[in-house]
Amino acid sequence: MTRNEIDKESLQPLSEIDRVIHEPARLLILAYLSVVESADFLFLMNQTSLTRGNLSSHLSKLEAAGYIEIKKEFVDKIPRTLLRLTEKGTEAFQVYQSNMKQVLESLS
Amino acid sequence: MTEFNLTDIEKNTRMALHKDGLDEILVGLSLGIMAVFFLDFRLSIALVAGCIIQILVKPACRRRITFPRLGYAKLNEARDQLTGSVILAIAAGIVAVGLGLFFVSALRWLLPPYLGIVLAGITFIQVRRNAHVYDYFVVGLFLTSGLLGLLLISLGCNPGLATAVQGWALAGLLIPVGAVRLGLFLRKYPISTGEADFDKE
Repeated sequence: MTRNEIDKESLQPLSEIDRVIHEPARLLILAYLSVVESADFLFLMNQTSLTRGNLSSHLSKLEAAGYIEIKKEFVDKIPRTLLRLTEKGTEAFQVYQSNMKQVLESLS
Repeated sequence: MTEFNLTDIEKNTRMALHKDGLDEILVGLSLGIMAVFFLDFRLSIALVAGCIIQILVKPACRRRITFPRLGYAKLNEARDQLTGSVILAIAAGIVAVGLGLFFVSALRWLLPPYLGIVLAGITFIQVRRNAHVYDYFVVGLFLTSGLLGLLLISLGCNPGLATAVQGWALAGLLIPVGAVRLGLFLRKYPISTGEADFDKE
């Protein structure tokens, strides 16, 4: 095995990095959702310090990818958006973590 | 991934849900009310009232005060159920020992340090989960309250009265601290009018 082949093999996970998750804001959102069973929009907005529009846009992308589930409900006549990680999202997040770990290890 | 740690994110989430000062206010209130029981064991309704504050009033306050401002998050159920069962078993043991100490008059002098150690232990577990420096002060406060109770007994005070004074002293310190934290929380997080909600594009 040549040095070039070894490098290609070790950097293979880099090509498998999920670009939907790789965006910092979306990664932060998924990280927060991975440690809770569910959270609402306001909680995520406060924790991530993202603006309403920005957070909405990222959530839409994550929902389109099937990584999160968005459920609207009313509590005391106030709309509340409940968010949770789907099974697909949990799996994708774990794969992303493992790929990133491998990439960073191969670079160090 | 040293700068981006999931454990820290979990700690942040736990801490965020407890920075409203309600824990201090309601624990202080419970201790202040439950202290009455140590003066006269026929007033066991005080123990029930203290428990009701923790079981019913605290979640209701969180629903009315915290969630509309900070948002709502439900921590992972599987972990919490396991923790809940362990806590329940330990709590039953702690209460049994506490009541034993109360009803055996020869051992009653042990009540204040026992209460102080139990409360400090519970807070210390929280410190390990939240790693918040502030909680260490509360651990110290509970331990000191046990020493205060012992001091009162050594000065000739009735152990029941010493334990009650210990509870009131803790209430007198915790409630104002909680009130300040609540005030800061209310100022930092004004109530959400529903505008801060998901807007599908």
